Amino acid sequence: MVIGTRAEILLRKRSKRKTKSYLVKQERVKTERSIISLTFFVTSIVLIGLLSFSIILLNFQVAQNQLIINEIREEINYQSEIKERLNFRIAQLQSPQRIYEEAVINLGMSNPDEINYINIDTYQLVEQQKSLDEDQDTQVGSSGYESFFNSEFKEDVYKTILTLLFP
Amino acid sequence: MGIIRRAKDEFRPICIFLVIILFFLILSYRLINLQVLDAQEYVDSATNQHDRDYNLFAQRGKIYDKNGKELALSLHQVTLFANPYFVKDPLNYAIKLSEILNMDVESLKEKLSRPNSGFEYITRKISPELANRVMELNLDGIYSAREDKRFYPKDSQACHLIGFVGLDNKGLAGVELEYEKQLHGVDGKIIAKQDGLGRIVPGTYTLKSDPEDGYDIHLTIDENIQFYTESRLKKGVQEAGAKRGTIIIMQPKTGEILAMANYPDFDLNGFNLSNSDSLKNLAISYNFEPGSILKFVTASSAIDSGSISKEMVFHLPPTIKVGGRVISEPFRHVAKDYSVADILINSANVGAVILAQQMSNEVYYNYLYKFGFGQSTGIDLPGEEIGVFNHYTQWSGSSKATISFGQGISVTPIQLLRALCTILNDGVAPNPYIVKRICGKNGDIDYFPKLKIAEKRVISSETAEAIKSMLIRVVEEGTGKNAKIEGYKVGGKTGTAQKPIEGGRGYHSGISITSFMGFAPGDDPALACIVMIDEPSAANGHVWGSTVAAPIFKDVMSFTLEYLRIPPLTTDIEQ
Repeated sequence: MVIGTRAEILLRKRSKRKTKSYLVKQERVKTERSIISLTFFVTSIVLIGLLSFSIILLNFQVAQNQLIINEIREEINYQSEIKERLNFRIAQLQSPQRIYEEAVINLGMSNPDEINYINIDTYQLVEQQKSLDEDQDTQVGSSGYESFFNSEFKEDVYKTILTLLFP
Repeated sequence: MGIIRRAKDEFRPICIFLVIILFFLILSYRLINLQVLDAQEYVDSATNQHDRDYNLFAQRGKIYDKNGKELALSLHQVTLFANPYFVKDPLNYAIKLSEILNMDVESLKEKLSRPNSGFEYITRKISPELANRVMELNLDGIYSAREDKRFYPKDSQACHLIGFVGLDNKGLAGVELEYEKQLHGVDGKIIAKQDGLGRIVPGTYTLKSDPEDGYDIHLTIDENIQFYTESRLKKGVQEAGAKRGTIIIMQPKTGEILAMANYPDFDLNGFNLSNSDSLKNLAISYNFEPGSILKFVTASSAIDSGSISKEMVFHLPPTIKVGGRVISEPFRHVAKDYSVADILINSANVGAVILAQQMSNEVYYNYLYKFGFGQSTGIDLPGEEIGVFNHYTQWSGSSKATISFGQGISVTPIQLLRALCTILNDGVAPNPYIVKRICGKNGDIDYFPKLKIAEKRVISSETAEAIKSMLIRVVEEGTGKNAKIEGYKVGGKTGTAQKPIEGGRGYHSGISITSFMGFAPGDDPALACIVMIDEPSAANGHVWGSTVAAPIFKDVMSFTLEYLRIPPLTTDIEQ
C-alpha cells in the first residue's frame, strides 16, 4: 500500500535509487582508497628496502675502497722503506772511507804525498851515458877480463873443478 | 552482516597501525635504554672488546753533514716477540726459530717455556726479510712488531760527534743525546676496531693524533775534511806510538766546527762492542795541562792589561826561582834579552814567568777566566769538561808562575782553540757550535746558535793583532817551523807538557802531551786548528809538539785550505 501523493511516491523511489547508487559509489571509493594505501605501503616498503640496500651497498663500497686505500698505503710504506734502504746504501757507498779503500786496495791508487817524483835532465843523462861508453871503449881489455871473472860463469867453473877433484 | 564486515574492515588497519606503533614504541624504549640510559656502560664494554690502540711511530730525524750527506738515519726493522701461553711445543719452536735467527736453542726454549709471562722478546730489530721468514712458519704465539733502528752509513766517521742511540731509540751520546728532543719527534696514535680474530676492520680507524716526525739536523762538519782529519790523526797517533789524540778545526770568526776527530774511535753500528775509553769525546772532555801552548794567553793578558808594552825587552836568566820552585829553560843555559815576541818564538818558560809576574794574581786570573778557562765553552755537545782552574785566592806561591807556561792548570782542547780564536777574532771570544740547521717539514726552527749569548770581548783588537803577528813569527822563525805550509802564512804555537802523576805529586819523566795550535792564512785567518797527541812514545827520539803535532797540523791544514779553495792572501804570496 502506497501512501501519499504520486509526487511523493516518485520522490521516495528516486531517493531510494539515489541511496543505492550512493552506497555503491562509497564502496568503490573505499576500495580505491585501500588500493592507494596498499600501493603507498608497498611502495614505501620497497623504497625503504631500496634505501637500506643502497646504504649497505654504499658501506660495502666504502669498506672496499678502504681496503684498497690500506693496500696502497702499505705499498707506499713498503716503497718508502725500499727508498730509505737505498738511501742508506748510497750513503754507505759514498763514504770517503770506502772510496779511499776501493781506490787504494782495488785500483792501486795512492796518495799524492806518497809518490816521489824525480825530475830527470835527459840531456845530461845522455851526455853521461856517452862519456861512460867512451870510458868503456878505452878500457875494454881489462874490463872484459874482470867481467869474465866477476860473472856467474866463474862460480860454475869453480863448482865443476871441485866436483872433478872431490866427486 | 555487511555492516559488521565493514566495521571489521575498518578496524583491521587501525589494529595493524596500533601494533606497529606499539612495536615501534617498544623498540624506541629499548633503543633509548641502550643508546641513552645504559649507553656509556655498553660503549665502555664494546670499546674494551673491539677497540685497539696502535702507535704510529714518529720517524727519528736524520743527521747530515754541512753538504747534506747522511751521517745517521733510521730504517724500519722488526721485533719478534712471543706469548708463551699460546706456544704449544717450545722445543720444536725453539729449533725452528734458531735455524733462522741463528740463536741458541736452549735460551729460546727457556723463553718460550714461561707460560705465565705473557710476553717475551725473541729478538729485537732484525731485518724485515728475516722476520718474514719466521712469520711464514705460522707459529702460534709468535708475533712481530715494527720498530725503527738507527744506522750510521759511515761507520766510525765522526763517531764522537754524532753519538748513538739505545735500543729504545733514545740518544745516549753526542748530537743524538744533545738534540734528543728535536730528533725524536712525537709518536701518533690511532684507534681501530678489531674483529673476533683480532684483525682490523677496514674503515674503522680513528686518528687520535698524527705522528710528528723528528727534525733533521745539519751539522757544521764537512764529511771529507772530517775523514781526512781522522785518517791523519790515526796515522799520526800510530806513528808516534801514542795513546790517544784529538784534532779540532774551527772557523775563528763564526765558531763553526769543521772537523772534530778523536782517536781511538769506534764503530757507531756496534758501539756496544767498543772499549768504554774509546767512547769519550776527547776534544771537549779531555783535561790536560797544556804546557807552552798557553804562553800566548799569558802574553796577551800582560799586554792587554797594560802591565807591559808589546815592544818591551826582558833580560831572562836560564833559571828563575818562584815560591821555592826553580823553573828552568830546557835548552837555554845562558841569560838572554828577549822581547815578548822572542819569548813566544823560543817558547821561553822563564820569559812567560816574568810576563805573568808583571800582573797581579787577580788580573791574571781574570784574563784567564775571560779567555774561557775553568768554564764551559757552551758547545752544543754533551759531556763537556770545564778543566781544573783554581781561583786565585787558592793559588800557592808558585801557581801564577807555573800557570804562565801551562802547568798547574787543566784545560780541554776546545777551550784552548776558543782562546786562540779569540785572538783571531779581534779579541772577541766566538761561541763554538756543531749544529748548523735544524729543519722539519715546515722549515727551519730556531735553536741555540741563533739565540746564542752575545760574544764577549776579551782583549782589545790591538792586542789581538800584536799577538797574531807574534804567533806568525813562531812558525816562521821559532818552534813551529814544522807547521809551515808552502804558499801560506801560518801562525801557531807548540806545546809539550809533562803529565802529572795521577794521585801523587810531581810529573812523570818521559811521559808528555804534545800539541800544536795554529791558524791560516796569515793576517786574515779562515781556519784555526788544534792537534793534541797524548803520550807519544820516545822511540823515535823527538817527542815535542813541534815534531809530533806540528806536522799533523801542517797536513790537515793544507788539505783543508786546498779543499775549501781558500787562496793565500796577497801578503802570503809576497812573503
